[in-house]
Amino acid sequence: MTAAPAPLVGPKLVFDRATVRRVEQLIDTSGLVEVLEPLLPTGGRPRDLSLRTLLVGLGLTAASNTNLYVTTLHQVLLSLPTPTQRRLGVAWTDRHGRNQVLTLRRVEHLYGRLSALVDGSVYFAGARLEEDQRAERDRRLDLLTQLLLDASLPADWASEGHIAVDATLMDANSHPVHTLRKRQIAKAAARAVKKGKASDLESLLSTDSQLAKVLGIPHFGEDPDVDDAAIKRLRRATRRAADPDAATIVSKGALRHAYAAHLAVSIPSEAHTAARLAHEDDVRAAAAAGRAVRVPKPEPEPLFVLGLDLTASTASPAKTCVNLTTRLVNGLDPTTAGVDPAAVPATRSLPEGDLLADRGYSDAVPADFHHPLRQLGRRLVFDLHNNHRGVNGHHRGALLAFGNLYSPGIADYPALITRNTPSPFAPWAEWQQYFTDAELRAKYRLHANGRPDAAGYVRLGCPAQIRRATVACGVRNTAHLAGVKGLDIIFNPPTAPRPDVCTKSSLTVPPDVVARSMDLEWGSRAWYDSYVRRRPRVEGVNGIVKNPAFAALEHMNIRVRGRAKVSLFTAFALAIANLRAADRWHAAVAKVRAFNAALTAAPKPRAARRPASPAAPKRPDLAGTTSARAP
Amino acid sequence: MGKGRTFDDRAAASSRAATPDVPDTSPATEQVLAAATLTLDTLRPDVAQQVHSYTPMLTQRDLTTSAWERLAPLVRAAVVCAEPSSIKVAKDMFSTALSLTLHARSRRMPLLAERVFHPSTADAWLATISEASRHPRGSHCRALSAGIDAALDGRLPTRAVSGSTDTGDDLGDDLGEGAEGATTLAPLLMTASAPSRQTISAAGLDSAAGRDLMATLHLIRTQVLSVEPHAMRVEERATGKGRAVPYGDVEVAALLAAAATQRSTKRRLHVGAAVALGLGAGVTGERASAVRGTDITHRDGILTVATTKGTAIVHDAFAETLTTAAGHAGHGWVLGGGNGRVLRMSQLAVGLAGTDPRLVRLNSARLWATWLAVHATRGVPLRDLLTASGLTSTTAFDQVMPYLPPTTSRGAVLLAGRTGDDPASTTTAVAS
Repeated sequence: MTAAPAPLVGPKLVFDRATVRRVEQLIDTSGLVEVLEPLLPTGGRPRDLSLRTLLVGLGLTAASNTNLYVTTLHQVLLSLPTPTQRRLGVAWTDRHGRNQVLTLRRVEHLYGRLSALVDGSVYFAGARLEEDQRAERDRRLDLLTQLLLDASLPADWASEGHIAVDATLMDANSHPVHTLRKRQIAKAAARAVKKGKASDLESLLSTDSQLAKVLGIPHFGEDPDVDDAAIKRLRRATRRAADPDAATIVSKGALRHAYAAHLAVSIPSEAHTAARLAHEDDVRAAAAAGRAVRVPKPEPEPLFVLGLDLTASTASPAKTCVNLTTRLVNGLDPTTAGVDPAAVPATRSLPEGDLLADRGYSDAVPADFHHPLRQLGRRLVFDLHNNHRGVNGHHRGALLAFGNLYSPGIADYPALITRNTPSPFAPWAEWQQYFTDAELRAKYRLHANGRPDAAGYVRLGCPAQIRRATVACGVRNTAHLAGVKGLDIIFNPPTAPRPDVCTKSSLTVPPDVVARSMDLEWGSRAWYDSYVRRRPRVEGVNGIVKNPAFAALEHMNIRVRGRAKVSLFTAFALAIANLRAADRWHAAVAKVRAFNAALTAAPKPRAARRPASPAAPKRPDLAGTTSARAP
Repeated sequence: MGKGRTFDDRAAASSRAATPDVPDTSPATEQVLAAATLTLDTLRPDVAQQVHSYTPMLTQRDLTTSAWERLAPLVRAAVVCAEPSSIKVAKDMFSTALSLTLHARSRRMPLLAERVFHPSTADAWLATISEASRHPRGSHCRALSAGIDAALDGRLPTRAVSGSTDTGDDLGDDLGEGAEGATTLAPLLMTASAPSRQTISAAGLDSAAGRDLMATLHLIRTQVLSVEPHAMRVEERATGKGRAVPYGDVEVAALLAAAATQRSTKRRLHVGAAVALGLGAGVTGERASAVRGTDITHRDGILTVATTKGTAIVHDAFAETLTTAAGHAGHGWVLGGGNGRVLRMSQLAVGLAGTDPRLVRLNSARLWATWLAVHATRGVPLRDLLTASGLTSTTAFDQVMPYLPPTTSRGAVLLAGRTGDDPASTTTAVAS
C-alpha cells in the first residue's frame, strides 16, 4: 500500500500574529464594518461577538485554504493566540470574573444576520421581501464584494484599465436536480435499449406497467388526453435542489449543480506584452549567440482579481459581464445598496482600456454585450465563434465576414474568407500563413471615417478610394495603384447597378452590423498577441483560486448554501488570493528590477573593430636581393 | 467559461490542410492548359525540351518539390503560350512566370491562369522588385499576359499560322504580331454613340472651337469604324498595336475627362497639357517632354509652342488648358518632371490607362495621328501641315490616309477649280 502524497499546504487553522494583523488591516481598509454595522438589528442583549471579529474570522478562514464551514470559522477564532483572542473579543472575562469564550451559537447567529443583509434570494433570506428590497440586498452584496476586493489590492499598484473576464464553475453544496422519477425512467430506458425495444417515454410506459405505477400514471393507455397531461406533468416535475440559487448544467460530460463565478482579472497592456516578447526573443538570441541579454525585462503585471459576480451557472454570461464591468467602471452606488454613502470609502474606478472575453461572452446578441461595453469605453478584444467566421452576409454591397465589412472584391480571393482554421497542433508554418491571411484580409476592410457616434453608428468607406487605398479597383479609378504601390487588384468589381459601397464615399453603418468588429483583424498576429497571449491569464487565476496551495476555493470546499453566503466566502477567498498575489508580485518586481539594473550596469561590449582598410601594397624589401635591382 | 480555447475547430483543420498550393481550376485555365498542349508542338525542339526539363532552384525559391509539382503545369502553360523563341528567352520567362505565380500565391489569389498572369497582378508584383529588374521582367510579364490572352481568345499559335516553326534566332517576336486569326472579339473602344453633352462639357470642349473640333473628330470616328471596325481591341492596348489609328470624338472626350479627374492638381495639369499638346499642336513624344512653360507664348492672338523642330500652333480648343499649364510650369517642363529628368508621356499614360479597363490609352502616336487627321480633314494646306508638324515628306500621311473622311464639299469645289461661292453645284458634284 503506497502512502498518499503529502498535501502542499494542509489545513491551517493557527495563524501568526502578522497574518492576523494583515487580515485585520484588510477589513479595516475595506470599511465593511462601518458600512454594515448600522444595518444589523439593534436592541436586546448586547452582542459579545463584534462584526469586525466575525469578518476577521471569515478572512482567516479563507486564508486557511480548508473547508469553508461556519464551524471552521469558529475553530479559527478559537485557535488564535490568547492575547489576540482577548483583543478581538473571542475570549473575555465576564463581570463575575469567569473566563468566557465565543460559542458556535453566537458565530452562527451573527453570520446569519450578516448574510441576511446581503441576501436577496427568494429561496433564502429574501423570501419574504419585496422585489425592490431584494434588489437592494443584491446591490449590497455587490458593494461588499467590491469593497473587499478593492481593499485587497496593494496601494502601490494602479490598474491600466485592461481586464479579462471569465467564469469558473463553483459547485454548490447540493446535488444536481435529478428527480427520482427521472432516474427511474433512465433505468427503464436503459433496460429497454438492452432488450432492443424503443426507449421513448410513451413506449416505456405502455410496455412497463410497473414503471407507470411508480410514476403515478397507473392507468396509462386508457385515455390519450389524460396520458398527455400526465406526461407533461411528469416532465415538469423536479425535486427542488438544496441550493436553488445555483443551477444544474452539464459540464464536461458531467451533471453539476453549480454557481458561475465571473472574475474580472487585471491583464497587461499590449505594449507590455510586446516588451515581454521582445525580451524573450532576445534571451533566445543571446543563448544562441553566446552573448549577454540586452533587452530589459518589463516589470511583471500582477494577477489580481478586480471584480467578482457570482451567478447561477446558467445565467447569461454576457449580461453578468456587463454588470460587473459597469460596477468597475462607474464605481459603487451606495444609495441603491441602501447604505450610508458617507460610510463607504472611495474605491478605484477602472480607467479606459481593453476588455478580453472568450466566446462564452462574445457570442451573445450585441445589445447584451458589445454595445453596452463599448459605451462604457471598453475596447473589446474577443474570439469569434465559428458561425461568425467566413462570410455571413452583405450590407449595402459590402461583404460581412469575420464580424467586419469588406469590399465585395475580396470574393476574388476566396482563401482569405474561408472559415477553416489550422488545428491547435498544426505546424507553425501553417499558423504563420493563417496570420498572413488575416493581414491580407485586413486590406479589404472598409475604412472607418472617424469614430462611431454616441449611438454606435459608424461611417465606413470603400478601401479602394484614392486617399487611403489599400486595394486597387477600377470602379474607384485606383487600378493603377496595383503597379504603383503593389496593391492587390480587384478583378471582378460589382457590375451595374453598382451597390452603395462602390458608389458612395462612405456608408453609415448601424452598430448591430459591425458589433463583432474589432480594430484588430481577427486571426491576425496582432490579434493573437493581444488576445491569445493575454486572456489566458484569467484561466490562471481560476486555477490559482481552486488550488489548495494558494487559495480556499477547491472543489466542494464551500459548504454553505445560497448565493449570498457563497459569495461572501468566495469574496474573502479572492481577497486573500489578491493579498498573496501582491506578495508574489512585489518579490517578482524586485527580482526584475535587480535583473534590469545588472543589465544596465554591465559594461557594454565594444563594437567589433572595423575590418582593416585595404592596406597600400607593401614595398618589397629589396635589401639583400639582387634580382630586384634595376637592370 | 470552458469555451475559451481558440482555434479548436479540428474538423475544419483537415479541410484547410488540403487547400494550399493547389492550382484552382476554371474553364479559362483549362482552356489555357489545352492551348499550351497544342502550342508546345509548334515550338522549336530545343525550346520544347527546355520547357519539359525546367526545374527552378527550389531552395532559393523556398519551395518544396511537391509544391513545385503542383505549380508546374500552370507555369509551363504560361511560358508555352508566350511562345519563347529561344532557350534563353524560355529560361527568363520561366523565372518570371514562377515569380509571378509565387507572388499570386503569397497574396492568396486563386491560382488561375487568367488571374495570375493578369497585367494588374504583374504590375503589383513588379512594384515589389528592384527598379533595375522592372523593365526586363515587365517585358516578360507582358509577353506572358499576351500569350494567355491569345490562348483564351482561341487564337492559333503565331508560328502555326505563319507556317514556319523554324524562325532561327529572332529574339524579338515574343510579343507577337498576330491578331489575324482572332475569333472572339473584345469590346471595342470606339463606340458608335456620340459623347453626351455632359461629357463634352467635362472635357472642356464646349466652346465654339471645341464644338468645331468635335464635329471633325466625329467624322473621323465614323470613317475609322467603317474602314476598320476592330481598329482598337482591348487586348491590343497592352501591346501598343494600332497606335496610328486616330482617336475619335468619344475617345478625345474621355481622355480629357480623365485628365480633369486626376487625383492631384499637378497631375491634372500635366496630363491635360500632354493631351493638349498632342491633339492641339501635334507635339508629342520627346518634343512634348522638352516643352517648358516659357516656350508657350501668344503671338498675334495665336498660341504657339516653340519646340526643338520649330514652332507649332495650338488649336483654340486647347489654348486655355495649355496656357494654364504653362503658367504653372514657368521655367519648368509643362509635362512635369524634376531633378533634371523630364517626365515622358508614356509615364503619364500609366496612370491614365489603369483607371478603367475600358478607358482610352494615352498614346503619343495616336495623338499625333489625330492631330494630322483633324487638320487634313479640315483642309489645311499640305505645306502648312508639313511645316507645323516638322515633317519634310508626306510618308507619314500613309498611316492616317485610310482614316480620313471622304472628300468634303470644300475639297470638291477646289478640285473643280472654283472659288466655292456656289454651294448647290458643289453639293451635287459630291453626291454624284
